[in-house]
Amino acid sequence: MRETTIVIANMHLSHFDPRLAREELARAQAFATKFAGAGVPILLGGDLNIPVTEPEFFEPLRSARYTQPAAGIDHLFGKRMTLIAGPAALADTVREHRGVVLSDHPIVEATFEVAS
Amino acid sequence: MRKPLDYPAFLRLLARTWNLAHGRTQPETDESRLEEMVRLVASEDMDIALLQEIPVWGLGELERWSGRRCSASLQCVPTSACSVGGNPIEASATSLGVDWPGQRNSRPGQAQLVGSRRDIAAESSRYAKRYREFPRPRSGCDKTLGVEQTNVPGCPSRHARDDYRHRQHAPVTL
Repeated sequence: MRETTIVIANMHLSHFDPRLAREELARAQAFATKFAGAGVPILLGGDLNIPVTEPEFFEPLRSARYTQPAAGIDHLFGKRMTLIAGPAALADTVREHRGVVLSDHPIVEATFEVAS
Repeated sequence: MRKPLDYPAFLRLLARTWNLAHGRTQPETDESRLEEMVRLVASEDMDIALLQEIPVWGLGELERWSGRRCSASLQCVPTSACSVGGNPIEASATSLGVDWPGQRNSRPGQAQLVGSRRDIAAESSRYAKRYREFPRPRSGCDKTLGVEQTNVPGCPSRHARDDYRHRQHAPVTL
């Protein structure tokens, strides 16, 4: 049976100081890279607490050929995979339930294609 | 004669990330909507979900909730968990009587986790998960996958941790 291995790193980074979140992101990126080894696709994401308005914070990911960030602070980055759609936040109406909106964060969604 | 390909050359994955904010809503209510959130994120064609701020009390329920009405049910692997005892900032704020909204919901403990479709096998590390995609057979035959879960660091609930270890070690029959 053929298998495709993907390494997934899920993060919730500090919100006190974006510089701290940037350092945590760098550590997570380094860990995921080492854990994955050569040639293994990586999906790295979560609540990074780093807005897209701080593009220099994402420079290490861009340099490492990860896909583009989302618009808010919740992100999905792929490496060694092709971004087909997104990453984009779903409309707030998706989270409406019995008169309230679920969570104070949007659902961010992306579709990737990985060679198998 | 050339043998036809059994599996596609490319695997397409729909990934989602969502901070569940401990089941809170806007505007806030007295009840947690965690169950509705899990059903929502596991719906439709979801393959992988990266979830944050899950109260520890909800960990034992996630798979059951996601499997009740959703087209995709989750197998969940906690990636981290902490409690008051492991969070010095929260402990300090509590001892000073400070109502710190950003930390308030850490009191019951929180976890981050990765959920995936049941035909994706998870192999865990402390900080990252190695996922192996098992191609779906062309016919509708059943198959059994072993799912390995180890090392849930700092989980404050022995019951939740043991429950997860038990269930994640059990083979999943599709």
